[in-house]
Parts: sequence; C-alpha cells; structure tokens
Amino acid sequence: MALPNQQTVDYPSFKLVIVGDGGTGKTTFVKRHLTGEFEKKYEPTIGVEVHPLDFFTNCGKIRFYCWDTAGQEKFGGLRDGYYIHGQCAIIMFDVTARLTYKNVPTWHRDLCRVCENIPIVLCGNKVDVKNRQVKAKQVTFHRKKNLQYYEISAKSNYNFEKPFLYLARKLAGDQNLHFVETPALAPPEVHIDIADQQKNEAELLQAAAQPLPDDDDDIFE
Amino acid sequence: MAAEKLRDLSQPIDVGVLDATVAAFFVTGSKEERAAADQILRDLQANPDMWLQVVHILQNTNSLDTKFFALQVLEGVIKYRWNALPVEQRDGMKNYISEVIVQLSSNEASFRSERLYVNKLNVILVQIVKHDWPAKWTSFIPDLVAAAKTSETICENCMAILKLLSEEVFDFSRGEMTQQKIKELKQSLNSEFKLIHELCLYVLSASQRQDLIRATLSALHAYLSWIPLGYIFESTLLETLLKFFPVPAYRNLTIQCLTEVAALNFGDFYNVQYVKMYTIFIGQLRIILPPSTKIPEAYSSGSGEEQAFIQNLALFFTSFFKFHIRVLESTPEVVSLLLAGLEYLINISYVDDTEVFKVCLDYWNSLVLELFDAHHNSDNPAVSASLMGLQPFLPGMVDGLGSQVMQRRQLYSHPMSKLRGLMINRMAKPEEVLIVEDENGNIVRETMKDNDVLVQYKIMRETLIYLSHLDHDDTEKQMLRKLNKQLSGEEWAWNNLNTLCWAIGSISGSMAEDQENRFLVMVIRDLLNLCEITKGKDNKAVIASNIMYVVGQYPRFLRAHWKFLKTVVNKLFEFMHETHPGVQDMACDTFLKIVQKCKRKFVIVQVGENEPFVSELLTGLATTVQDLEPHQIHSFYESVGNMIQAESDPQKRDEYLQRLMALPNQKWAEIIGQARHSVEFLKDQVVIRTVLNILQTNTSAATSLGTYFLSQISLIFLDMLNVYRMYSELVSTNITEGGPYASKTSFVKLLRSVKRETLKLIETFLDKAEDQPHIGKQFVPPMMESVLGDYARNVPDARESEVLSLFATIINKYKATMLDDVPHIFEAVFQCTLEMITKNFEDYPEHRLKFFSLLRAIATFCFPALIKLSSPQLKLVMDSIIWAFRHTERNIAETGLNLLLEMLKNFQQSEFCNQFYRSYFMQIEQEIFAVLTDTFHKPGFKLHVLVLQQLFCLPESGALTEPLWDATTVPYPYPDNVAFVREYTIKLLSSSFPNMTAAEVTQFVNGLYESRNDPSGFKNNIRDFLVQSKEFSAQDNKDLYAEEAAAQRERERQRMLSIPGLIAPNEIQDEMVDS
Repeated sequence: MALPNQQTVDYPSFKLVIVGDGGTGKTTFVKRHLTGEFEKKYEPTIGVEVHPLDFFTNCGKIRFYCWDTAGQEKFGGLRDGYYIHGQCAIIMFDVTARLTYKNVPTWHRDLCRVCENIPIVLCGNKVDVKNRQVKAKQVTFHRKKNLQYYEISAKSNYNFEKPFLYLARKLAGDQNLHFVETPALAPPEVHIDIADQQKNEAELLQAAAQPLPDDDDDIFE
Repeated sequence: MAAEKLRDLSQPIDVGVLDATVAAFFVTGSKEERAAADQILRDLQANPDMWLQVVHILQNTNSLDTKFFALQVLEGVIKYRWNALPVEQRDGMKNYISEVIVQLSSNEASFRSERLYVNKLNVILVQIVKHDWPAKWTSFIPDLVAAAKTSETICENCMAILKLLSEEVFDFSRGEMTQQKIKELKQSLNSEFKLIHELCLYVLSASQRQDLIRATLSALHAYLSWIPLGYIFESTLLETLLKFFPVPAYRNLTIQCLTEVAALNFGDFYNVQYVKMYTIFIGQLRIILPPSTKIPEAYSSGSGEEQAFIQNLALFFTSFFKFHIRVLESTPEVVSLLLAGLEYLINISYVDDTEVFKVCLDYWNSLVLELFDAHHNSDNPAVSASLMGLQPFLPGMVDGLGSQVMQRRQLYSHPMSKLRGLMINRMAKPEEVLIVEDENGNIVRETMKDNDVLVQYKIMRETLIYLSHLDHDDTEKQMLRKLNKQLSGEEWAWNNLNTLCWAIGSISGSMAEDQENRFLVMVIRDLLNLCEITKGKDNKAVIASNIMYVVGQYPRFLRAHWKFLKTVVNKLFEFMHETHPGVQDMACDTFLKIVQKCKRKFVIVQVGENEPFVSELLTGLATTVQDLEPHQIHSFYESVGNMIQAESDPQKRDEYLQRLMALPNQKWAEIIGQARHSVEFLKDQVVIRTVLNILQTNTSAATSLGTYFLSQISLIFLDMLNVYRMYSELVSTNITEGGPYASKTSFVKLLRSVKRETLKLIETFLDKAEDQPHIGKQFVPPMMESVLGDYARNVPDARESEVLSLFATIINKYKATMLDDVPHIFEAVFQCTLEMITKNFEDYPEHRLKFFSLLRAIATFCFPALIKLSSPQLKLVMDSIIWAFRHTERNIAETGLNLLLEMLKNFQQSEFCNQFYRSYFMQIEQEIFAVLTDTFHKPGFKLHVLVLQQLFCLPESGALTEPLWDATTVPYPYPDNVAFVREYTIKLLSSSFPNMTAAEVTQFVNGLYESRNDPSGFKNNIRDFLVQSKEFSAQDNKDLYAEEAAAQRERERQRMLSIPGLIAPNEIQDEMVDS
C-alpha cells in the first residue's frame, strides 16, 4: 500500500509504527540510528515523533518513516490513531521488566485492530543488562501470531539492523534482500557477542592460518 | 493558522479545517506542520467538550482518518464517563453507533472501503456493551445474531464484533474492569454462547463466501479456548473444521482453531474424539503435504502463507503431543499415525528458521525429559542402572512397571534415534568469546551471558544428554558414524564438523567414566586421523580448534591424563603467539576454562617432573604473553590466578603471586619512582595508559585469587590511592576550566578510566575476599580521604558514580562492622549527590540508581546508623526515598520502594516506632496513593501494594503504643489508630477522586481493612479501585445525587441543542409541526 502524497523521496518509503510500554527503549533505539548517540537519560515521548530512517539495500535505497509513539498512557496522545496507514511495526519490550512483556499482547491487539496483516517484529530490548527478568525461552507470544522475534540491545547495537532487515524483506517480498552499506553507528558501548554463526566461522577461518606443529600426532597418543 | 480556530468548541467545529488538519498530520504535512497538527488534535482530544461534536463531525466528513479521530474522542468518553451520562444520551449514542455499523456493513462496497472506520465503530460498540450488557442491554446477543442473518456482509461484521467481545472479556479484561464486572460478563457470554455457536455452524455449513467463512473461523478461534467443551466435542464443530482444513484459503485459520482444541486438557473424557480428530487430520495432511515432501526445501521456497502453515503445523503437533500423546499410544493403527506425526515434526525441525526450530525444540526437550524421567524414577533397579550407564541392560529382569516403561521406550526408539541425528546436526554454538570496546574506548573482553543462541545451546545440550541416557550406544554410534563421514569426505564441511564436535562436547559427563574414556579416545583418534588426511591449512586449523574444544569439554579426562593435559596447555601457549585475533582469543579462553577445571593439577609436582607446572609457567611468563593484546594478558593473569589459588601452602602461594605480578609491579615501581621526582610524569598519556593496564592486570588476578590477593593489593594500595586522587583533581580542574565539553575529551576520559579501574579493583578484591572483618577495617579508612573526601570536593561532573556502588558493595559485604563508618560516608556523599539528582528526574542517571542502592545497603545492614541521625537528617533521608519512588525510571523507583519497605519494617521493630510513624505515616500513605493512581508508575504496582499493606497492618500490630495523630492539632479524638487510619484514608481519597462517590470510597477502604491479611484479596481490591478511580460513577442512579444529575443533564442537553446537528432530528421533541 503506497501512502498518498507521502512520497517525499524518490525511493520506496514505508510507515513503520513503533509501540511498547514506556521506558522500553523505543526512542533510544530510533535515535541510536539517527544520531549514533546512546541516550542514558529517560525522558518519556509525548504523543509521537516521526523520524525518517534510510537503509541501503542491494535493490536500492529504502526509507522507513518511524513513528516513535509514546509508551506512557498519560502521554499517549492519539494512541491507535498513530497506527493509521502503518505498513509495518515493531513492538518493543524490556527484558529486564516482566510487565513490559506481559503488555505485549495488548499492544499487538491495538495494532492489529487498525493495521490488518502488516509485518510485525517483536523486539526484546536491553539484553546487555545482567539481570534479565524475561528469559529468552519465556518469550513465546510471537509464535502463535507468526511474528518475528529479535533480542536487541540499543546500548550495544546488538542485532540493531535485524528488525529493519526483516521488515524490508517482507515489504519487498524478497527473502534475499540485504543491506549493502552499514549506516554509521556509534561504536558500541558494551559490545555483545555477535552471536551469529558467520562471525564464529570467520574466526575459525582465521584460525586456519595457524601452522600445525609437527609433533601433533605424538601429542594425542 | 486556520487550524487554531478549531480550538473554539462553543460552535460547531469547521469540519473542512479539521479534515485539513488531520490530513496534514497523517499524510500531507511537513515535519513542522505535522507536529503542529498533532498538538491541536491532542488538545482537541483532551477537551472535555469535544465529544459533543462527534456526531456532527461524523456526518460531515468524508475522510476516514477524521472519522477515526472523532471515534477516538468518543471512546474516551465511553470508557470513563459513560455511567455519568444521562440515559437518553447513552441510548442516543448506542443507537447511532449501531445504525452506522448496520448501514455501512450492509453494503459490500462501503464495508470494504470504509474498513478502518467500521473496525473502530465495532470497537466503540463493544466498549458500550462492556458497560451496558447484560443488565441494560439484555438482548444484545440475540440482536446481534438476528442482524447477522440479514446479510452476509453484516454477518461478517458481526463475527468481527463477536471476536472483539471475546477478546475484551477473556483476554484483556484485567485492570480494565472490576473483578465483579469481569465475572458477570464471562457468565453472560458463557450462557449465551449457544446462539453464537449455532450461528457459526450455520454460516460454515451454508455460506460459500470466503471472507465470511474466514471471519467466522477467526471468531471461533477466539472462543475455542474457553467455551464449554460440549460445544466442541458434542456437536459437528470438529468435523466442520476438519472439512475446511484442506482448503488453502482456510488452512491456516483452521489449523489455528485445531491447535486451540489440541491445547485443551481436561481429563480423559473426550479421548475418543481426540483420537478421531488426529486420525482425520493426519489423513488429510498426507494429501496436502505428502510424507515424502522435503519440508525444509518447501519452506525456504514457500510464500509467507505457506511458511506460516509449516509453523502452525509445528504448533499443532507440539500442542497435541504435549497434552494427548498418551491416547495415541493405545492401538497399533493409532501408533502408526503417531509415528507419522513425529516424523513430520522431525522433518519440520530441519527447517532453516530459528522460530520454527524453537517451537519444535521445546517440545522435543519435554518429550525426552518425560521418557527419561519414567525410566529414571522407575523402581526397577535394572532399568535405572542401565540408564545411568552402570551396567548393561538385562532383558530378563524387567517386568511390571519396568516393562511398561521399556515398551514405551521401544515405541519411541526409532524417532528418538532420528532426534539424536537432529540434535547433532543442528547443535548450537556453545559459548562466545568476544573482544569489545567499553565506553572509555578501551578494548576489553565481554561475554554475553544470556543470548538466544546460548539458551538454545542449553536446551539442546539438556535434550541430548537425556537422549544419551536413553541409549548410550546409539548416541555413540551416531556420533562416530558422523565422524566417519567427515573422514570419508561424504559430509565434510566446517559447519558439520563444528556442530558434531559441539554435540560431542555437550554430552560430557553423561557416560560412565570408562565408557567416556573409550569414546573420547576414539573421537580424538578419528579427529587426528582427519587432520592428517585433510589438505589445506584452513581445514587443518578448523579440525585442530575442534580438537581443542572437545578436550576442553572433558576435564575429567584431562585430570586423569596429566601428560595429555600438559601437552594441550603447551599447545595453547603456542597458539598465543599466532597474531590472528581469533586464534589468540580462543587460546586464552580455552586456557582459562581448562585451568578452572583442573587447577590442582598445575600446582603439584607431577611424576617425572622437577617442579609444579605453575612454576615452570611463571619462569617463561614474559615470553608466553609477549604477543598477546592487553585484554588477553588480563585473561591469562586470571587463569594463572586460578592455579595459584589452588596451592594450599601459603608460602608457596605468595611466592607464585610475587612472580606472577613481578612484571606489572616493576613497571608500577618505575612509574611511582618517576612521579616522586616530578608529578608531571603522570600526566603523560602513555604513562596513564600503562597505569590503566597495570590496574586491569591486578583486577584480573584479584578476580580469581580472592583473599589470597591481599599481599599484592597491600603492596600498591596507598600509592594507587594517591594516583587516584591526583587524577581526580586533574579531572576536576579540567572540567572547571574547560567547561562542560572538557569531560568529553579523550584526556579526561582516559583519566577517568584509571579512576574507575581503581574503584573496580578495590571493589573486586573486597567483594571476592572471604568475609574477614579486618580486611574491611584495613582498607576502608585510607579511602575516606582519598576517595570519599575527593568525591565531595570534586565538581559534580568529575564525581564517579562507582564510588557510590563501591561503598554499597562494602556495606553489603561487611555489614554491621561498617556501622561506625556510615556517618562519614553520609557526610561525604549524601548532600552533594542529592544536589546533583534533585534538580530534575533525568540528570546523572547512574548516580541516581547507585545512590539509592547505597542507601538501601545502609538501611539493610546498618540500620542503627539511621536511627542515630538527627531528625532533620532523617527527614532528608525520607524525602530522598520519596523522591526516589516518584521517578518514572523503573529501576530507581523500584529501589526506592524496596528501600521504603525495609525502613518501614525496621522502624516498626525499633523503639522509635511511634515517633517515626507519627512523623511519616500520613505523608507516605499520601505519596504512595499518588504514585499508585498515576499511570506513569504502573510498573511499581506490586510494591505500592506491599507498602500499603504494611501501613494498613501497622495499627493492629501492637507496635504502636501512642496515637498516630497529633492530639495538639487534631481536635477530634479517634477511639484508636485503626479508626484514625480509616478516616484519614477516606478523607484523602474523597478529596483526590471527586468522581467517586463517598459510598464507593468508604466501601473500598473497608475492603482494604478486611483483606489486609490476605495479599491477593488486598491486591484485587486495589486493582478494582484503580479501575473505578478513572471512571465517573453512575451518579445519576444514586438518589443522593439525583438533583445534581438532573441539572447537569439539562445543561448538557442545552449545550447539545445549541449545536445544530448534534442531536439527531428524531430525538428532538420540538413543537414544530410538519407544515
């Protein structure tokens, strides 16, 4: 669905709605991309703030208009009104606060009542924090709803692009779409292990250059 | 700006301007225009008179977005003020909404094009129903069902409404309605479900319309989890669902419905039906998805719908098996279907998608555990023994329960064998090594403890261990066979070898020792063999690293084979000279892991050797670490620290420690010596970095040595504090002179790194050292001046929050022995930190949290110190606690509330109970009610309740011996504290919530009293109160307020009449005659 008149840029753009309880890190997540800064202070968003985020893919540039909505009930503003014309969404919770996960179904319900059948990603934020309250294996809500789930950390940039990549692929209908140029991110503060296999394989690859001592075989007798 | 005039609601709103504003917001506006439009729309929404314009807007706009906005305004009124509206207005609204819904949904074209509007209207209608049904709208369900029968699109929309209703009542009612109301709605829906059931079955049997059938299936899906079982199993419902299952358009919806049914678990009564359902299901599935289908391939090339189907299929099988697998074990025919289902699930488990895999894995884990438990807990010793790998299984010895267990094991042996293959094939990466950059720009090692892959590894490891116990021989055979296929080249690939070796490593310890030794020797022989026959350095390195990994997983083996262990470690040392970063990291990491498990082996003199390995190691230390990066050296020091810690002779231990620290200590002495000549020397960036590195090395060694690090830290402690103080003053001067940006320069950041590392080293040592009071006594006094005094003197931006956490750690560790130091700590950090954090709720977030954590440590372990405070000081403490829980930042608020709870309990038990509560009881209660009823503080709900419960239990606890109220200012003599608290609370709430009636408030407070000893009842009372406190009560029904209500009704009516169009023509009883 193309938005009437929203084509302010000459490449595809999509309205992305970001919802979730207050304090789960929605604004920090968006700002991290926008300015590279990691904001430690907590200042609740009022109503909504819209930010364009550009990504470069092998099929060209795309833009997400991120509607960063207020998580605090009091500052909710137009609430589900902000979801109108939403083409994709991110639901955010905080793995260090159980209640924020318990409220995920409510956010999902509100979204689905306005935007039927849009791709949605569930994100568990703050996985860098030591005291997790929501363990990875307790996160099962998304399964029945066919949502994608990622653990992320806005603080350390962990899995930062994954939600956008998933949505871009769904919107483009192209499973092989990939980002070609990493947008400038600030150096991560707490770097989490880049848990993905490729990295480990790459490390093993490097291990390759290691000459094996001649007495190898004797060792293991 | 034209839009500004929208704010004037004394006249009918200009819909054209409103449309333009809405459009500017959603579609056409620039960034600034959108922000301005958002502001106006939010103001309009918040205006209490706005809702009176809604009908006018709805009737005059063509914009769906505007209509949506108008309905949002209405939604607020319905949610919170419905009961306060006069009955005519309520009826008018109800009828209007119903009519618009019927009108739009009776016409296919408008129903589709105005979908967004209709959906919102449905939501509004359900909000009304939640208030009025069943009492004031008894015929709602029959009305709806009757309407549904008039047209297929209306029917489709009725299904949507029914779905909403079920969701609102069953899934999302908590915290939205009172307990009483929820119960009432659930009962009504239950008792009226017959009509809904009939409607659904009728539609499914009669309609050919895809949209309608889909809407019906999706409504049914919402109902299946809670409706009485008879509707499912004693009607044609299941048959009907299964009939729709093969049709592609309904496949996903039907399987979701069937999954809900599969997840129901209420005894054995409907077992026959479950078997029947499963049988038909498998029959149809075999047609849709022939068993020969390569599911992983089909998935990766499938559409979104098809991928969802595979995932839904996994959910169906796992739910069904989880609750009803036993009923499928009854007869051979059914068993074959069960095996077919398991086969499907194993195939799905190979799909390359983490989420699909996790669905399957969770089930496999629970099935394997169930099978293992049955064996494990069996009384038959032969069975348990064979499972524990203690002796071979003797078939003749099994009977009774044991034989049942064996039969079941037999039944699942084939799928379990396939499952072993799956686990080996997809084994997750066990552990990560990382090099990371911290916030000061330094390279450090960081391990991510709880990520997705690690969790997956844990579950897979557990599953594979159970599988191994169920059949050691098959496990061993499959692993060795896989290894052979690596050797033969048939399956040779790095990833295959990796997962295989991770799997082999993961079952360490599950076999009996001799079997394990035999197995491991074979594995290593094969791996070496593989290494020999494989060409290419890359390949060889992968194999070598896997050998390292596997042996690292078997410390029992290593401990038993010293020569082998020594060779492995020496080989790791060789790897430490290979400058590819991955190699060195892996070597350091494996070294640490092996040392932790085998440390004693390194400090004893092994047969045929002259000295313990550690001594040999220390001799060659400089050479071994010469090519390592600083963070790798730190890891190395931690490893060696572990060895030294295992030495029981104190003299030898100290000697080793001296030799270990010789290099950094020598450098340290040099630097300190130079600094004595000229302090300027310490300001050189290279020197600062060296200091930082030395401190980090010390921290690493302290981590593993604990108390035994005492001699080393004593050596450098005082000089270290001097350096700390000097750098701190330097930071302070730089910030004072250089302004706010100075704190961001790399020079200042570097200096702060040293400060933080110093604090970290002290904290690590004090935390890891055994609980010996003299250690605290020795180290705390020197820090009073150089650390605490320095903190107080610094400019705010130069204060390290780690100072606060260090002292929190010290108090948590050394507890009451720190009592005498608390006043000093207080003096140094209290006032100055409060000044930093009380200007707003945002600045210095880390200081905030750590400050309150420190306060909590003091309250928990050094409470007597708080009692000794002067009353203005105590007031400052209490005010700061209240300040803490007023934060919307969750961690700070939670720390504050926990602290408050501890204070309340401690004071209750102290001799100052009367005095304390007389001063603070009312303030605390008021403050807690303020945050409790503020939605910003929702996350604190549980703790708010605990505080209130504490307060409500206090008057009767016997702890108070004097009145809580101040007799000099309160003239009314209350009979006792109970009565006082009751009256006070009623007064407090009545004035804070004028929307609630006096009777409601009194009832709530009485309820609190009655339930004060019942935590869940107490909590539910408060939940109901929160719902009520947001709503305006049905005041027009109360005689007490009849007059006022009538007057207000009239005012409202007059206002509506003054706005043309607001009241529909048929509702106006005017005298104008049709002329």
